[in-house]
Amino acid sequence: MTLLSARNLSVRIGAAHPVADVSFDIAAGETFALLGESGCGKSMTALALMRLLPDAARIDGGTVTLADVDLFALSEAEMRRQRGRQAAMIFQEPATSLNPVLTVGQQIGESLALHRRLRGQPAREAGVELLRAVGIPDPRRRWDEYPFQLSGGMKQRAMIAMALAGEPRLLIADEPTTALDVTIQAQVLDLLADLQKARGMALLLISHDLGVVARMADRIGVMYAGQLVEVAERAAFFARPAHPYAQKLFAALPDAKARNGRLATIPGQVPPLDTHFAGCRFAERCAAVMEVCRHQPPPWFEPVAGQRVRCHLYAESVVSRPTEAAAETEMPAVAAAANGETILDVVDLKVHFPIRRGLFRRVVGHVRAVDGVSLTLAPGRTLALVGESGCGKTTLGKAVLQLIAPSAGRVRYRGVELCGLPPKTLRGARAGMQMVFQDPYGSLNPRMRVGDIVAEGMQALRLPGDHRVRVNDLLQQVGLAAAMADRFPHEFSGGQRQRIAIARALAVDPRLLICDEPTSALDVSVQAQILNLLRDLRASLGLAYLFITHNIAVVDYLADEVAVMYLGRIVERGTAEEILRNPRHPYTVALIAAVPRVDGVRGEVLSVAGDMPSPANPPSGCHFHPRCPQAMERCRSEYPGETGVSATRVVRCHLYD
Amino acid sequence: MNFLLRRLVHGGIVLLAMSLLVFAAVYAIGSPVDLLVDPNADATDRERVIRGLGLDRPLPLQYLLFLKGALSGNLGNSFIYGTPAIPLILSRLPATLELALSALAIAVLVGLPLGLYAGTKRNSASRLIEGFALLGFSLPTFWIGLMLILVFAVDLQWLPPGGRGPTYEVFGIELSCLSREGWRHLLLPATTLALFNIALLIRVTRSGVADALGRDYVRFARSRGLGPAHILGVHVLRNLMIPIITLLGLEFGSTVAFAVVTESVFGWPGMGKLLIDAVGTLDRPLIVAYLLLTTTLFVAVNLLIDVSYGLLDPRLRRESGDA
Repeated sequence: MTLLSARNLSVRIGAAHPVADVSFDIAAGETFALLGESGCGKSMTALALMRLLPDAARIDGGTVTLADVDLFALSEAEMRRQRGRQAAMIFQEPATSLNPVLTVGQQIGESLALHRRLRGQPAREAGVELLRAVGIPDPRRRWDEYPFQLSGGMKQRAMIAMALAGEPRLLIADEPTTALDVTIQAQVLDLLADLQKARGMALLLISHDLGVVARMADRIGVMYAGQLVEVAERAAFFARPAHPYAQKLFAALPDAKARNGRLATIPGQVPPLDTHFAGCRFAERCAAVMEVCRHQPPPWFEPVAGQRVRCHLYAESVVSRPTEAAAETEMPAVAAAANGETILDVVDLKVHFPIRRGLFRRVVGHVRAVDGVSLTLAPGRTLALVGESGCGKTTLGKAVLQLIAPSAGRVRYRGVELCGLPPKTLRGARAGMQMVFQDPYGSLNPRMRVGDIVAEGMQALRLPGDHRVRVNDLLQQVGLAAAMADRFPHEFSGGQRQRIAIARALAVDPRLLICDEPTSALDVSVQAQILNLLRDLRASLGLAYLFITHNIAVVDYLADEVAVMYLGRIVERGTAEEILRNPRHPYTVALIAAVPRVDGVRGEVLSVAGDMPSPANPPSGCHFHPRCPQAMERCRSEYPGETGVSATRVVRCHLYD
Repeated sequence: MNFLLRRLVHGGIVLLAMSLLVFAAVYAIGSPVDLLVDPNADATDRERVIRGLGLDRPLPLQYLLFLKGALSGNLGNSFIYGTPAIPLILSRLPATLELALSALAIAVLVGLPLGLYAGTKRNSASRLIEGFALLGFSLPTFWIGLMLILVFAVDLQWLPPGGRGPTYEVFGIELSCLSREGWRHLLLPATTLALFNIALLIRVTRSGVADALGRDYVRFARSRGLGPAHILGVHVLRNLMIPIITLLGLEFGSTVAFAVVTESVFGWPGMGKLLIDAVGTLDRPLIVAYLLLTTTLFVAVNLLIDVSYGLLDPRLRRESGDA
């Protein structure tokens, strides 16, 4: 039975159409996923269904029917009665979507009062029951707490509880797990699936993540530039995506299979929303483009039952079908420096932040952000530092660069001890190490021209040579035009900004790049471009990378060695092959299992319970024992020492003592 | 608790710095002796007066003696009236406080609703409100006061042009806001004083509301079917209270200070009038006492604001509770 039906839905912002002529149905109890990269119109579509578009945007045609009610014919007051009761919505950022000054109970209570006429004690009972249903431990206490007292995963659960308070028949989830860590993401996805089954609720899932979609969706709609380009059953879609854009999305995913090659990228950029399209919207960037694509919008074809695609390639007259793009070109294997030379040697590094209390700001404890980490890195090699948010990996990266003074331990770069060097000497000594940050929007000074940004490091170190010439070379090296040196950062897309950040890092001829989540703010197809660039630079310049990330797929594609970090310590370390194919530490096992797979197989997922504890107050014994499915008595009292499992692998777990 | 203690120490330091500054400043302006002593008096008479006031001692010593007195609650005798400065000021304090608080109350009652309206709606009425706010910022207080007197007291003769009117004593404090006649006297000066605050409140509330309405939590609240009145009254207002309370606290201080002008225009018998006279005669103990008292008021109000943050913002509550 069809619950929601959207027909020819269009949204207009000025002259632009962020949503153009979108039609789809969602059956009761079904999960339908809208898949696409940022700016494709998927969130705008969801907001249009709820009639919650931002002020500048207008619904420009089409109809939406929800449980036989024509939503666009309702008055705003009537529409309000639909929201929360018929269709509810949860958003990407649980941290900002909950009102910070109202308790969880107040925010659930207002929904219960509105939709179920519950107040006082009955509302509290029903609300606590809801919190229990979304898996919040100790719900009676949580009822009176404020959002800031909840962890990210708990906030997302609380948001789900609030959305469910009106017992909606359709839940729209807009990137519900994008802001969460993988183990928490796995928990929340499980929860959504369970709730949906228990309540017979339909789910409209909006995501850019093929893995999440593969795990959750019954049917998938792929959006590109405001249009649906493919609608298919999950099995058919993941077995063989039909639209060239969808195929590219798969090919752009980093993984071990692509290890020795470049990732497929999509040339060009998503067209601006106010473009007037004569033909197919993807034509400009499509590898299989034909003459007809440029001036005739493709109609829908159904090459396989249950898989519809909007592409001229599937017309009867076209013989050759597009084949799935293989990895583009082979790359030279990286010359591994195996002669025992090290470029970076970190020994027992600690960064403890004091916690001060009281009238005289006495130090009453420490946040052990990094607590005794040792690493070595050889020239030209890539070491991935993997862990969830709050594990201390970013702090470690900064401490290596001496951007944060370590509390103890040694950092040697090419044999030179950096800890304790006077600032002047340090500046020269660390020139060989550069950092690329996560957020390409925040890490470039908006008031400086790109050329000045890139040249700044050279000027600071008073490097010889013509800096302008060097800037032009660098910009070309990272795939930008030399003429772009005179522009400002805001004129560039996220991917281009990250290229600028890389050019800036390369300007002083570093031997080691510390990359802190350099692709996590980028779309999959752009991520592929940056990963290709990093790979090329590694091959041509012999750079070593300390690659800080939570993205296992990126690790699999790029890293030679992997170190897994949990609560300030490295719990397992070894070659990428060892760690990713045959993880030993229970945390590594859980971390890898929690990553949703894109092969469409819904495997048995082992998810760890609970949240990461606070590094200010780590659990006794092994830090992981409260969440560990294999915890033993010993783990509660004794932190495990290092056990060499192979010549290259070390694990800290009592299972391997 | 520690938090309170720390703030009290801070407050003490501010008071000390203030007294030092004022002491030095008044000394720099000139000697009050020239104003106090009859020009025809002879040298011995002058000596006697100077010694009587303690002005013969070196300035640092004068300051130390003042501090010693201050610790026992005595800020010295007024040069002019010859009576202790503090009771003199305190006798005038209720009138000023009543005026300032009435002004703030009017500002909240008028400015907050107007600001909420202007922040929610985009129409000609909201533009009118913003224009009014701009006027409130730019017009000088004394001119507004004179205008109000001209229109409401002289032309229309609805309200008295000045004075305080009858007062009633409550717990030993004279108040005029308890009778109709008292209110009629209070209304014009309080409105004059309120105008700037109304303008400020409109601005802050309007931008605060516009900002809050764009927040994710408002979008999420709307997606749950909550109505605009509920969202404005609960979600937006609760978040807005923090900047507004801050603003009101700071404005309370400057309202007391600005009352000097308004009190002069309306002949309101408050502290401001006393201060102006004291400055005219270089009555140092009175000036110092007045400024210390206002500073104490500032510090106390700021402390109250900080404490109220804890009540308004749960995130701060925990931090200060722990500290």
